Order: sequence, then C-alpha cells, then structure tokens
Amino acid sequence: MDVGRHPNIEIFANSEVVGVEGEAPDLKVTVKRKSTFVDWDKCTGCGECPTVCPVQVKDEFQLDLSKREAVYRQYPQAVPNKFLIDKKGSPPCRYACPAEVNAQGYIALILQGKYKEALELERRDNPFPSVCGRVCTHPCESDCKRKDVDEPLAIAQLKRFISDQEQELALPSPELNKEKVAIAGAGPAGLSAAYFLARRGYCPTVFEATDHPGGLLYWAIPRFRLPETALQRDLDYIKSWGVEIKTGTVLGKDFTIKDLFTQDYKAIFLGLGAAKEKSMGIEGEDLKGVVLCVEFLNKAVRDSSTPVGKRVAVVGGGNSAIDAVRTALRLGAEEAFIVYRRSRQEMPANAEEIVEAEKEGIEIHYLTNPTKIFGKDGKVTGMECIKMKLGEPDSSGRRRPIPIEGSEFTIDLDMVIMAVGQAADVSFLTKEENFELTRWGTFAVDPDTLQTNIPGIFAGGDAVTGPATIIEAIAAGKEAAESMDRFIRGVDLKENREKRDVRVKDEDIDIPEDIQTEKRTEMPLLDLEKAKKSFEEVAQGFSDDQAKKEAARCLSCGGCAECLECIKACEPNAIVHDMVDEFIDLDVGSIVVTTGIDYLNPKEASEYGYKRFRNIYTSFEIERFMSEDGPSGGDLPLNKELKEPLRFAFIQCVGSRNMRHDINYCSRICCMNTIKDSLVLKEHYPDANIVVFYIDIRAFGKGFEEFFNRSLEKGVKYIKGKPSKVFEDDQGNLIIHYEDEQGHSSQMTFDAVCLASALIPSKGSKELADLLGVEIDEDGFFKNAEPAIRPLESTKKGVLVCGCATGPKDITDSIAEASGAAVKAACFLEGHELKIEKKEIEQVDVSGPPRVGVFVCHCGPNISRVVDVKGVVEYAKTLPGVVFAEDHIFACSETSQHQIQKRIAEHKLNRVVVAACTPKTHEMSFQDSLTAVGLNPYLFDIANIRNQCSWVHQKEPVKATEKAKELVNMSVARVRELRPLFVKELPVNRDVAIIGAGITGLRCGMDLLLRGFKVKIIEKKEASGGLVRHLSSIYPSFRSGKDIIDKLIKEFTSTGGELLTSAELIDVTGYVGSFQVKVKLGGKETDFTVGAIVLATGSELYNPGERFGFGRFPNIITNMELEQKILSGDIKNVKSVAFFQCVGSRGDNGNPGCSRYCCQAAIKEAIYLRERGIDVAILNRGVRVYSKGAEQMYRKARELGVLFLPYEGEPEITGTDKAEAVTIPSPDIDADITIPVDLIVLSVGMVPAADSARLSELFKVPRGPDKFFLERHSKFGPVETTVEGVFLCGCCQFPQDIGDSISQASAVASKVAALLSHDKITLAPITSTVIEEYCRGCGRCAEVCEFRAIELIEKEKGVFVAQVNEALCKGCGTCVAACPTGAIDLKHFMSEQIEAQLEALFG
Amino acid sequence: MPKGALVIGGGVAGVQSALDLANAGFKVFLVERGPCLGGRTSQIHKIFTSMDCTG
Repeated sequence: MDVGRHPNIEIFANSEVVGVEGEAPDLKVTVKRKSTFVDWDKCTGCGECPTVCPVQVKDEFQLDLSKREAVYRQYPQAVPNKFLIDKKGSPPCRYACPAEVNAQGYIALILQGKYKEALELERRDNPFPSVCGRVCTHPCESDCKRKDVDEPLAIAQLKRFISDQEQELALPSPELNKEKVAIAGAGPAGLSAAYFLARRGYCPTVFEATDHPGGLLYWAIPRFRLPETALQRDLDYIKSWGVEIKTGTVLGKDFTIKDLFTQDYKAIFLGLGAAKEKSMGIEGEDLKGVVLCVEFLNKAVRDSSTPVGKRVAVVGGGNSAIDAVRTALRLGAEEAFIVYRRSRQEMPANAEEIVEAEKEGIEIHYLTNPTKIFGKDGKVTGMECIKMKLGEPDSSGRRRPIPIEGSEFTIDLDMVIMAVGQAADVSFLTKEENFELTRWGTFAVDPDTLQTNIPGIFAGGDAVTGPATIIEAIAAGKEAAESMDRFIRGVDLKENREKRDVRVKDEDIDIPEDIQTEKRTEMPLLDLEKAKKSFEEVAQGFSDDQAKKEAARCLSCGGCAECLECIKACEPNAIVHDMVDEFIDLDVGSIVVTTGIDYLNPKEASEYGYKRFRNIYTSFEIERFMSEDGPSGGDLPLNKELKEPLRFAFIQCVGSRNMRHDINYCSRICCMNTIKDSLVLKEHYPDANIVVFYIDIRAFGKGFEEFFNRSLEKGVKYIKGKPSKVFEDDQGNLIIHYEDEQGHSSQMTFDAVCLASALIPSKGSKELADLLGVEIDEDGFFKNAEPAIRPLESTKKGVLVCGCATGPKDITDSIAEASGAAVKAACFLEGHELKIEKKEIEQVDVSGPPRVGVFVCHCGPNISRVVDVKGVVEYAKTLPGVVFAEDHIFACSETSQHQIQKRIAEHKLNRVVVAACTPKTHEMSFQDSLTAVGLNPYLFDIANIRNQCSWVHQKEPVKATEKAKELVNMSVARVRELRPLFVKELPVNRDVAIIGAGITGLRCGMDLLLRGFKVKIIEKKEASGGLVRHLSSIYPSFRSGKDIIDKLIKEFTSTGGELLTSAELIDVTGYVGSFQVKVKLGGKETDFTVGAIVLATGSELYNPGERFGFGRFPNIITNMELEQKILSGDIKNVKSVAFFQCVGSRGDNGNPGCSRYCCQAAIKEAIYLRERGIDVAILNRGVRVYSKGAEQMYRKARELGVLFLPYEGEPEITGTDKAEAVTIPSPDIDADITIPVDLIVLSVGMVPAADSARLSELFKVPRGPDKFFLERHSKFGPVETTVEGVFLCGCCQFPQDIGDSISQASAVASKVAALLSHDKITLAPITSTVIEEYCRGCGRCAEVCEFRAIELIEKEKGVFVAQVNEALCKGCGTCVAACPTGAIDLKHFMSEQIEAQLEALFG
Repeated sequence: MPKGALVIGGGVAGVQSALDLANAGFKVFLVERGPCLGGRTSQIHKIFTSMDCTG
C-alpha cells in the first residue's frame, strides 16, 4: 500500500519538528504545521487555482530555473496531492500603507487585464480608490522594493487607472441587517468607518455639517487635481453599500450625542476633522489680502472666478500650499510663488506636485521665512522675510530651520496665503459630554481601538491625530469599524489588535539576477499652457498599455498577492487566506531521522564560472533540464547555435574531496550520476563529444562497472585530471584548462559544462541535531554511534539516523538503511500489532441479474469543461443492466463516496461503475467504499474519462464526449460479467531461518530476536563469523574482526537465538508464511517450519590460481593472508610491499564488477605497514574509497608516503627464489618503473559463493549476470527477492563493505518483521486459474512464470496438467498469453469479461 | 511505551522507514518540511543504473 493511503501513517507535510523532550521510549515531540492557506481536508487537487493566480515566483522544485504560480503543488503526482500558497509576508507597499491596501494584489490583476477584479480588491481595504489614485501621499511608493533596481512603481497612478476603467459603478448587494451606527463627519475617516461597517452588515448614518460630503476632499482639494466627478465616483460607491449621509446636520447644534444613543444607535464614530486653520502669528496678518489657505481653496472650489492678487505668495510647503499657489495662478495671478522655510528635501508636498507646479512657472523660495507683512491702507503690499539655514533634526526628523541674522529682505506682493497648518478643535463637545482631550485639543483615544474615554464612542482622523493624510484617515475609519463591530458584539476590543502583517524579509524578496532596468512610466499631463489657465485635471491617467507596462515592473515581493482570485476559482471552498500555523504534540517511542542532503552551490568554486558564464550547469540542474516536465521540456537550454556536434564536459569532484571547501569526503554518487547523464545526453545528441574530467571513477556498486563500461562503449571520453579553470570566449564557447596525464597544461573547448557539485548536509541539520540532543560529525552529517558497526544509530538512544542524513549515498543504500532504521525504531514501541476491529458487515446478495449503478465525475471542471457529463449520465441510463446513474462534482470526495454507498442500498445495486480519472488514483478508495457496505469490491470498474477523454481531446469536446460514452459502455459491459472474488488467508509461522552466520546473518538474527521473533541461523561451516572473523581490524574504528564477531555471537545466543553450525541445508519447500526446511546436523536430518527465510550466505574470495605470480613465489600472498600475518605479527624482514588491486575484479578474469571493499582494505593495511617503516606502493586502477571516514584514511596514507601507482594488466615480476621487483609502465614519464619488493599482496575480489547455484535452485531465487543473487529491484527492493518470504542481505547479493552489509541485515530484519507481524497473510484473489479439460500439459505456462507459481502435476499416469499455486501467483497474466490452448484464464480479467467489453465497443 | 514512531524527512528513506514501521503494525508520524513527499528523488530524471524514471 502506498504511503499516502496507509492507515497507520499520518503525514505532516509542510511541517517541522520544533520541540523534543524526554528519553526514548517516552519522547514528547512538538510539530509545527506551517499554514498552507488551503484547507487540505477540502482540497481535491483539481488544479483550478493556479489557472487564475496572477503571481509568478521561483519554482524551487525546478531549482529556481523556472517560475510557477504562488498557489501550487510541487508536481502533479505529489503526495499529498494538495495545493498550498506561497506567502513570504506583507509586501513593502502594503506594509507601508496605513490602511494596508493590497497594492501588490491589484497590480498583479492589472497585469492580467482584470481591472474589475483589481478594483474590487482595492475596495476591500479602501473605499476611495479614485481619490487616493490622485491625491494620496502614497507611502507605498516610498518603500517599493523596485527602487533598489531603478525607480519605485507608480502605485498610486495604477490605482487611479483601475478606478478610471470602471464604466458602470459596481453595485454591491448589501445586506444591512445589523444594528444602527452613527458617524459624525463625512470626511474620509467618517465615510470609511461607515463604509466598512456597512460591509459588515451594520446600518450606518453619517451626519455632515456642510452641504456636501467629502470633507476636505471636496472643500479643499482643487479640481485640477481631484475633479468632482472623480470624488463623486467614490462617494456613490460608498452610498451604494447603503450608507446614509445626512448633510447640513451639525453636531452640537442640530443633534447631540445623547440624541444618538436614544435613537438606538449602538456605537458612534466622530470623524470631525481639523477644520481650524492656523496662521503664523506675525505682524500684518490682519491686513486685507492675507488669507488662510483652506479658506482660499474653499472659495475657489465654490467659485472659479474668485478674485486673486497679482503677486501672490503662499507660505508653507505642504500639498495645500502647492494647491493654493497653483490655484492662484489659475485664478489669474500674474505671479504666484511659494515661501518655504526649509529646503526641497524637507518639503512635505508630493514630489510630483512640486514638479508640476515648477513646470507651471511657479517659483519656490526655499530657506525663507516671513517675519512681517506690510500694508498700505489696510491692504497688503509687501512681506519681509529672513533667510534660514538648517540645523539639527527636530522631533519630526527634519532638520530644524534657523534664521540667519541680518539676512532680512522684502518682497513686494498684494496677496499672502498662509498654508502653515490646521488644528482640530473639538472643545465645543466637552460642554455636552465629558470627553478627555489631548493638550492639542484633539480627542484622547486608545491608540489600538480608537475608543474615547466614553464607551461606545470612537474617534479618528484629523480630530485625533491633528492634520494628517487622507490614507491615515481612511485607516482610522477602518480600524474604528473593527472596534465598533466588536463593541456591538460584546467582544474584547483589544485582543489581537496589535497584529500587523509581518513585512516580508528583504532577503526573501526575489530580484532576478538578470533583471532589466526599466524607468517608471511617466504620467501624461495636460498641455501646460492649457493647464495653467483652467481647472481641468492635469494628470491624464495611464493608457491600458502604460498601466500594464508599469504593472509588469512589480517584483511581487510578498509571493502570494492575496488577490483572492483563487477563492473564486476553488469549487470546494478550500482556500483560507488567514490560516495560521498549528502546533501538534505527539508521544512517540523513537525517532528516525532521514533529512537527506543539499547540494553545494558551485558558485563557491568560482574558478568554474558557474552563473558567470552561460551554459554551465550543475548535475542536479541537468536532472531537471532532461526531465520532460522540467524547465526546458526535456532538453538542454543551450543559448547558442551548434555548428558542429555538441561538445559537452563534466567536471567531477566540484567541492568534494576538497579541503578548500572543507568537504573532506567523497560524495559517493556523482561518478555514477555523471555516467548516467552522459548516457542520457548520448540519447539526445548521438554525435556529441562528451568528456568527463575526473580524479577517480568510483563505480563500486552492483552493476556500476558495467554501466561505466557502457558509457565508454558509447564513446564518452574520460580524462584523469582536475580542471584548473573555465572561461568563456566571445563566441560563447567554454574553455576548460586542465593538466593532462603527462602533466602538461592543456585546454579544450566545449559548448556546455556540467559541474558535479558536492553533496552537503541538509540545511538545518545542526539545529535539528541540537533539538534531538544528538551529535553531528566533523562533516556536518548526523553522527553514528559507531561507524560501520552501528551505522543506523545516532549518539542517543532511540534516535535512528539513516540515508543521506549520515552522509551521501545512493537510493539503494538509503532504502536499505531506512528499512534497517525502522526495525531498530520498532524496538522502542509497544506491541507490534495494532488491533483493527473488524465489523461484521452484511454482504449484498449479488446472485441476481446485474443491477449496475453508474457515477460520472466532473472532476471539478477537469472533465466537465470538455465532456458533457450530464449527457454521459443520460447515455449510461440507456445501457443494459444500468438501473441508476448520476453525476458528481468530485466522485472521490468523502461526501460523494457516502452518496454512492447510499445509492447502493437505495437501488439495490450489485455492480458499480465510476467514470472518472485513472484507476491508479482512486480505485482502492472506491473499492473500500463498496466493501464498507457489504458489496464485493471486485464488482466494480472505472472508466477513465479524464485522462483518456477530457485531457487528450481538449479541443474536441463532441468527440471527447462520444469517447467517454463508449468507455462507460465498455465498463458497464465488463462489470456485468464480473464475479465476486475473495481474499484468501494463510496462517503464518513466525519463526525465521537465516542461511549463513557471517556478520550479516548474525546482525539480522540479532535484530529479529530483539523484535521478539524466534531465529535459527544455519551455518555450513564449523565456525561462524564469515570473513570478518579473520580481519585484523576494521576501519575506521580499528577494532578486531574477531572481537566484533565473538561479541555478536554471544549476544545472539544469550538472547535465545539458535546457531546451527556445521549444518547442511538439504531441502526447502513451501511458500511464504510456511516454509519447510530440512537440515542435516551432526549426521542427522531435522525438519522445521519457518515463515520467512533470509539468505546471508556471503561471498568467497577470488582465487588467483597462478595468475599475478601467485604460487610461483612464496612472498606473493592475498590480502586475507596479509590480515593473518598482521594478526600473528608475522611481518619480519619486510622493507617494501606492493599491493596489486582489482585482482579478480572489474573485468579481470571474467568477474565483471568492482569488489567494493578492496581499496579501502588495502589502504588500511598500507597504513599499518607504513607506520612500521615499511615502504608501500598500491598499484591501482583508480582508488575507490567512498565509505564514511575512508577518504580521510586515503589522505592519511598519502601523507604517510604510501605510493599510489596506476597499472593495467599483470605487472612483470622478477626474482629468483622470491619476488624481488615489480615493473610497470608509467605513462607519466613514458618509461617503466621498477619497484623492489619483499612482499606482494594481491587484493583479491569477491566472487559468488560456490554453492550459490544450488541455493538459487533450491529457493527459486534467480541470479544476475554476475552470478550473485538478484534482488527484487535494484533501487527500491534491494533486500527482497522475487520469491515472497525469501530475503537477502550482505555479500551474497553483491560485494559490500561491513557498514553496508550491516545496514542491509537490519533492513531484512525490518522486512521480515513486517511480514510476520500479522497472524495471517492475505493473498490477492486475482490469480490465474486452469481449465483442466483444455490443458494438454505442455508446460509453457510454467516456463514463463517468473514467480514459479505453476507446476505440472501428474493427474493420472502420463497425463500432466498445470496447477497454479495461489500463494505464489501475482496475477501478472503472462501464462495466459503463453498458453496455446486457452486453458489458463486470469480471474477478474477473464476472457468473457474482456470479450464483453469488445462486444460493447464493436457491437 | 508509546505505540508510534516519528520519522523526520519524507524523502525515499523517510517514506521507506515509515512504510516498514507501518507495515509491521505501528503508528507512524511522518514529518516533511516541504509540501509533499519524495524529497530529492522526485527531482531526479532517471536513476542509475536501471534508467527508470522516478515518477
């Protein structure tokens, strides 16, 4: 069963372990489930949400080589098959906005041309898009991250654009059914409060003192900046939500606060503004011609022919000052200018307003402050000013202006407009209510809730803050609405109010390395001369193209833009944008750590030009590029034209085995991976010239050497040597500098280069280790309790470590380790069987004529978009035997499955057809549904009308529908013929037999004993312990082999294990759960039954015969003999030793594979000798050290002066009585080298044990071409065989080193334990069945059956018929095809069932 | 003694450990940092030496 559906496995994806307490077996773990923003209980994985998502972010699954939507699943087959949303935090624009307006969201929608949706999104946070798009101070733009690239986005102008696109006002259909609320003041704060309350269903009434709503927006902002129509649009929209506005109603005069409460208003908001204007308080302000700014603007709004002076000075630097000076110009002033006491930098007015004013010819006198106004006849005639300089920053952060003494001067003028500020004055209200005020005369409110000292009365906007911006007023209204809602509902006002979205971290913002600079789009302006004379709007607004061009500059800083389009697209309503992280506490007995690896970024190896030059990839990137679903569709993304066949280089060991990068180890998989990639490239580019630059080719695993040879045969060239650097010429060629084998520096030219970068510990390993309380090794991987001997245990009891968490390794080794870790983890868990209570269910009677129910699935829009689902349902109803048909939006959903169960009962259905997706996905869950209501699960069929109709015939809906009908027709025809099938159960014997008592068999036996099983080990020899017993020491711990073995045997026998030595295995019969084993022991035969068998028969060492001078001279010995000499201290009078590697390995004398152990063993032995002053030369064919600690040992050997010399073939050995010298050719110096020797050690390979052929026959376990036992799957089933119940581990499968053998031994224990944990073994009922009268006993079926499930039995003398052993049959159907007489059929796929389908199709 | 084990990491090794434990009748909590299982293996195009795809 797969992991996603296993009833015992609970998956926490998108989760992290954040807390661990206690000791095994009482561990308390806290898991943080990071929010996915999609409710996974509801998500069906239909794939609609990304089709509407406007945001593109880096796709980390594609190694950031391409982009994906912010709502995503990693790949279509993901488990769990659920979507999630990528949110990095609040984007800077939104974070900077007081009202948290979602600018990134509407910008993303603009890019898609979804203007209506963009406006709708804007209005969720701000009812004034038309206003703010024109006159907002746009703090969003100040923090826009695009400014780091070139200039900030024109966010406000984009906002204006979407509001301008609205042809007809969107009309909401509000349901105002909640309480009445009152708002005083129809400025931006008051109207916002009213609007947000109306959106929540309250009935707001706004009381406005003047005769027009809008506050200063209407009364003080000149029309050339904010046309009346633009304001009106927002006002109309607010009103359309049901907000009632009563103008000309003055608080304190026409009504009182008390009145409001008695009129049943449940909460009150005071948005009274700051209407009181300030002046400077200098001499002459009372002269005629000196006016206050807002008053002036107000007059101009009412009457565009309001008289104005000829020379007009405006004092101040805010937007109002600019508005006033530009208004004065339009009213006819000959000269209008600004006097401002600080510099341009400190000026609070919007920059674009200043620029526009300057364009209109307005002069700004900076660092100038009026001191006195002169007049004549009571009318202003001039103004005395003083020059200023800037001092230290004041409380506003701006530099304080200081008058320069004696710099006074006079300006002639006839009008002065004071634009120096406003103030709130709400003191008049205190007569009625006892409001608490600040010393500035504003309301004192709670800063979080905006509640005044009187409960239920809230205040915001300028009346609280003093004069501030429009967007701040809107924010206050929004905040107050939240408070008033809470107040009315009686909910705590303050709880969670401090919440502000977290701003995205700068480092998480993705600015592409190759980003093109693009200036901000300029706003088209009204013709200058025309503008200066009229009140027509100056800014003309963006065109469609301009808006999209500008929107395209957005960096999508926050990831998901929260545009909410996915909510609309999601039929099951699974999107939850405000989801929060969840913390779950778990009690567990043990922990298995399998955190994997990361890749070194080859930018660290800068000499190879990664990311600096084009067409340089990492090996991991090659994986994605060559994948059909990858970023370049299954090919290299070469950005150059090839004039000749592709020239491609691989550089090995980038980072690995390299002290410079602190990576002391071999990454173990890169050689094989490169060989594989070279073959993949050869498939795509058969003529390609492929060169691999390597140090050693480490092809040490099963079948690896043969794989390496295959690439050589395909013409891949291997050059030993490490390139020093790569550079790019002006034609885009990549030139690799390297040293050839003769030591000459050379160079070669390529079109593309792949860097095999090192595997490094997974990010966060250290933090996790600290959390778990376990140690990390010097390379940063999880440390083993004892290397090689306890490879799966961490430094803490009950915490197991495996796979790449402990160091790089391939899938095969990782899988074996993972199983091994599981069996060790199980030892800390209670019991070994979860009792699942089975309810007796009444079975549906299926004996009558077929009553078929057909359920046709829409798969969201996946099927129904193309196929006429209702049409298919109607068609199905006409088919013979169909008594019921209906459609389902998602047939696989829990609700639908219940519905199907209900229909089975209602309509007495005895057959079910579901027309939906592939049976691979949901067949089992439908079958489970049938079983649950007592209908035999084999009376069911799926018609795959999604993959086979709506997906492949997207453009032909009519034909796709026809095909869907045909498929349903065929399914119905088949299901009518189906018969109920029942699973068979076999009893299980829980004992285990292990063949072979080497370290592997013993370890496996020990693990099984610890899990509570009875174990017998059958060893043919007198002594147990295999080869390890004879080792002087094992690296890297240097413990003696005998010690290790003796300890293990003692442990095994004292725990109750039976060790049968000198035992001869005579026969094995039976099948999984019940094997009968016959053994001859001490001359007597004994029988016993076991449920499972483990082959741990090891291998033998190659016998060199007379090769390599063996037997000719007494001082030529094998490495195993050297071990004995080391043990007995018998190395005397030896000054010089030569090792010959690969004797009987890697094609030498017919043995194809690498023997995997010998390089590391020879180095260990060489160090021993060298440390005793003996000269050592290791003649090798590439040094293959890959195990933990082995690379370090290799380095130590070289440091000690061990010589490593390459050689091929048999070296020349000279001597008289004994070998005295060895001569080998040396390509380095183009001459022969002669080494004097006292001892020659042959590192002999491992070969299959002599009796492996007999055992293969006995157990029906096949052997591979190398004659080692064959595993079920080279990667995913390394310790299983094709015979159920028979497992293998250690060197009988292929040469291993001790650590790998031990991991495999534990892995087998895990598999055996899982198998024998159950009382019974269930057999799938789909098996072959023989019709005896047709069988003529030819035996072809038995020949083709790879599971050996068929045998011929003699029915009567000389008459043979085939018989199927159902315990062994896998239901593959091969025998059916082989049978010449049609005597074998496969249940559930019987001839009449298939014929019925064909009949239905062809009539 | 608790009945469940925790497996940290949902790559091939984690999934294999989880399946072995679960098939032996134990409860397993499988915690994966990323949004789905499969780890590095799911990103690999073809695996040596069988040249199978990883899907």
